[in-house]
Amino acid sequence: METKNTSMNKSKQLLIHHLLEKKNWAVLTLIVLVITVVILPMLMDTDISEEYIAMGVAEVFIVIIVNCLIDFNYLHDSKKYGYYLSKPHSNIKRIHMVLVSNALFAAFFMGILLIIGLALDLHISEVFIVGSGWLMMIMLLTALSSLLSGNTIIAGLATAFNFALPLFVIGVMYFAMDIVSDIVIGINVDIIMDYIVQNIYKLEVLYLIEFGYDMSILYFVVLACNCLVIYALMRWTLKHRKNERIGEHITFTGYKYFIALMFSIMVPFLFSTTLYNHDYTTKLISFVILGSLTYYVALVILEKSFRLQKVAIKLLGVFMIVFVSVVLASGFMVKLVEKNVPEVAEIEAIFISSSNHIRLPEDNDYVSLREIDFEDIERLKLPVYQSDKAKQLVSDLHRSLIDNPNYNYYTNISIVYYLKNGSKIARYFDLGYYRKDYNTELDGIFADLMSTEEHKKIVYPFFYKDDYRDLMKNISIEMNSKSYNEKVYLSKTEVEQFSFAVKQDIDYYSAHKNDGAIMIGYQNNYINFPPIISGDDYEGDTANDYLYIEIWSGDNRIKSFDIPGYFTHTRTFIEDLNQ
Amino acid sequence: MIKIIELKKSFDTSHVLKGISLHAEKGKIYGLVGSNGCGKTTVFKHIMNIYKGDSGQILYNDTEVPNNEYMNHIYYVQDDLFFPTNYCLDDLFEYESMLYNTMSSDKYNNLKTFFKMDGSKKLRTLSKGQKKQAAFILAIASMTETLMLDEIVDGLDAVIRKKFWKVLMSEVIDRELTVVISSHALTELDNICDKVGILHEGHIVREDSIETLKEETKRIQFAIKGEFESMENEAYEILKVTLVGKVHFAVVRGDSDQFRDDLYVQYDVLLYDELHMNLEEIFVTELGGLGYGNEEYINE
Repeated sequence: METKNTSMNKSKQLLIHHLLEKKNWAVLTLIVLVITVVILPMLMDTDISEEYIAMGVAEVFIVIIVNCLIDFNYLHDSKKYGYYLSKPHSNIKRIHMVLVSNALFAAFFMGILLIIGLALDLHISEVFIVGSGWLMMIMLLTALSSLLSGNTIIAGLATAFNFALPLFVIGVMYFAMDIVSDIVIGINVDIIMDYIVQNIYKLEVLYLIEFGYDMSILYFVVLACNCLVIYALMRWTLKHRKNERIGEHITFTGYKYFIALMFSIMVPFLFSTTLYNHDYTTKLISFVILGSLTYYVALVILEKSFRLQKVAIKLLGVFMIVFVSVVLASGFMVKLVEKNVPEVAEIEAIFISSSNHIRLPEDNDYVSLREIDFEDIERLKLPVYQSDKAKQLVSDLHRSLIDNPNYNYYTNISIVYYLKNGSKIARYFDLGYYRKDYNTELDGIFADLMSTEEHKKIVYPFFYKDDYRDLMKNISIEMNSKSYNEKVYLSKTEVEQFSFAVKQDIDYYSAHKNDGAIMIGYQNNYINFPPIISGDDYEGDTANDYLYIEIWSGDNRIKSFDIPGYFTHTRTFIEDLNQ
Repeated sequence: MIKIIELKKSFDTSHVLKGISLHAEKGKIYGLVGSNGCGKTTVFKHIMNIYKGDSGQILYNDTEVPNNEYMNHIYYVQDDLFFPTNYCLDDLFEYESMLYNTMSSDKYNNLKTFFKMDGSKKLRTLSKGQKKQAAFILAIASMTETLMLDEIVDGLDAVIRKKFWKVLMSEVIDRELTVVISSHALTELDNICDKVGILHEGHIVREDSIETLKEETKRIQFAIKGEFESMENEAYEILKVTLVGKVHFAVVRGDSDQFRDDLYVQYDVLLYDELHMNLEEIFVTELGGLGYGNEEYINE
């Protein structure tokens, strides 16, 4: 018991000593915070707002990271390490002391910023909720990264790498799924990754961002779990660290190879995103070549040697084979269901859009199609195809796109089948640009689809679908022309008159213009009615007679249109309204 | 006190310690000597738990201590000194007083006066020799039961070295201080060490008390009628024979009395004299026997 008390007293004394050593940093931090959070807004004659508090929090972040790296610098200098390790104050106690002293330091300055924010009644809770969690995790990560590294600069970089590691993992998954989506027509990597991030690999929860707006007990659970995992890794690393490697960039061979392998995927992945190429063989070949080169360069930097060890080459070989095999196997497994098109009899409804996201009329939220179920379709009165003719046409379109997804301009088509058995099937097609050798069958299907009764409801639900419009409240029109810029709230009757006027013009437009794929399905926001060219006649030049309208539901902008000159009914209505 | 049993350590593919064993006893001074790069500092760092051995045991008071619980009882002065930035000796003493319960301010002040050290001077401004003195003062003032001193006299002038040995001897006698010291100043170690371990290429090639080493290995000068041809006997081993004029100088390990008797039986001995070797000569002889430093320099 006496030994324990002595040890605790010793730790307390050392902690106070360590905190006192930080007095210069404390003064510097205080000066920086006073200047940036208090004096700068005064000089700029503005109030202290959330942005200034957030900037202060960012400054505390920087100071804490730098301080942690300085405090853990003894792990990267054999002289210092020998000195401190030979003292009767164990390495783990010293690490704890650094963490506690920096946590107290951070708490003090975060506390000051919080008091300022609360005193000024600013909405800063999310900054502090997420910020405090991040600070705790980053301090622990700095300890872990400092143990993994044999050099302080590398420890700083390793901290950033480790903090971003969940994002790197997403990058790896994205790259793999991207190649799979190139193998299989109708699969969209964004939709799949969106689903994974929303439902399986919840990054927003992992990074605590989710709790910034909706604080719950789960915040503490996730934070505790994150911290425990990092702490456990830190203890393991401490136990197995080879201190004779101090001075090298990385003290753990496994971690060194792990970094190199991560970069060997990330670089080809970033490279592939810069190219508009959907050929999976090209991507795999570039992955193997660029990945190997990146791996070599990463190891040259990390090992400070141009010679590769045999084990490094073997590891790369095994990794490449495993990655390529997994991607190809997944691709070819998914390809087995590529040609599955549901039968018309099985389909309840079909939602089509040129986007894989949808803006909801209710609250203007922008959500992935993957998240919308048929109940949502019904509740939100979203426009769907339900006639047998349209179902058959969409099925034909689907089959035709599988056979040949090449069109005469770039566009995308998302199709979601809501089946009668309650399930849904989502497909996404990238239509490539082929000037001559494109799939001409598509033109016919588009034209047939546009001739259906449902088409106008789907493209212009605001005007053609009353129950959709009824979900909106306080409808207003913002009108912008050369001579005026007004926002006018419409009565129910005015809304109906407005819709009637627009519908007449759309009828005229539809009779004279074949939109093709560009106007297939639900349009999220902006709709442009192009000029109508017929022989020498040219209608719709808006350069001199510019009119742009936005339809608002409360504070949410629902749609925006450029109103061409031949939309005479609409223009007359707008002119009357303006007067 | 400190016992190392079959300690092995490799740095990647380089085998630095190939199963060394040593035993430093309580209240004695153990000299760890060896060729350059033989692994002396590595041994110290293993004892201080800075490096972890691949296999083998390190015992302190016959108990294997894997963590640093025994650091309370040991003060280590490393070859490559480090002092916290911007500290003066007094600051460092204050800091280390928080770490060692046994730190004595009386001893500290006494030693500061003895070595004429200015406690308020920033340590980074001191010379290499002064830094060594500062480290030594703190080591003695810590009043720990064991000192580990790696190349401590390196950089000290002769006067300070004398003072240094005086203090160290006094502490060993007064309070049964155990010291493990490494140095290349073998002449000085000769006078103070109780026991010596000779480390070479990862092995302890000899470990014994200084008396035993000196008793076991002797230099014998003799002159005989006729030519000397080597003699063989299990009781002794002739390590080296050189002829200077008509006098032979032989280094003999083992029973020198038996060597003398054999010599007198086989030769007409004109002159015979046994000389004690110092530590440096024993060191050179031992390592020379392993082929270390035997190369002839040819000036071309």
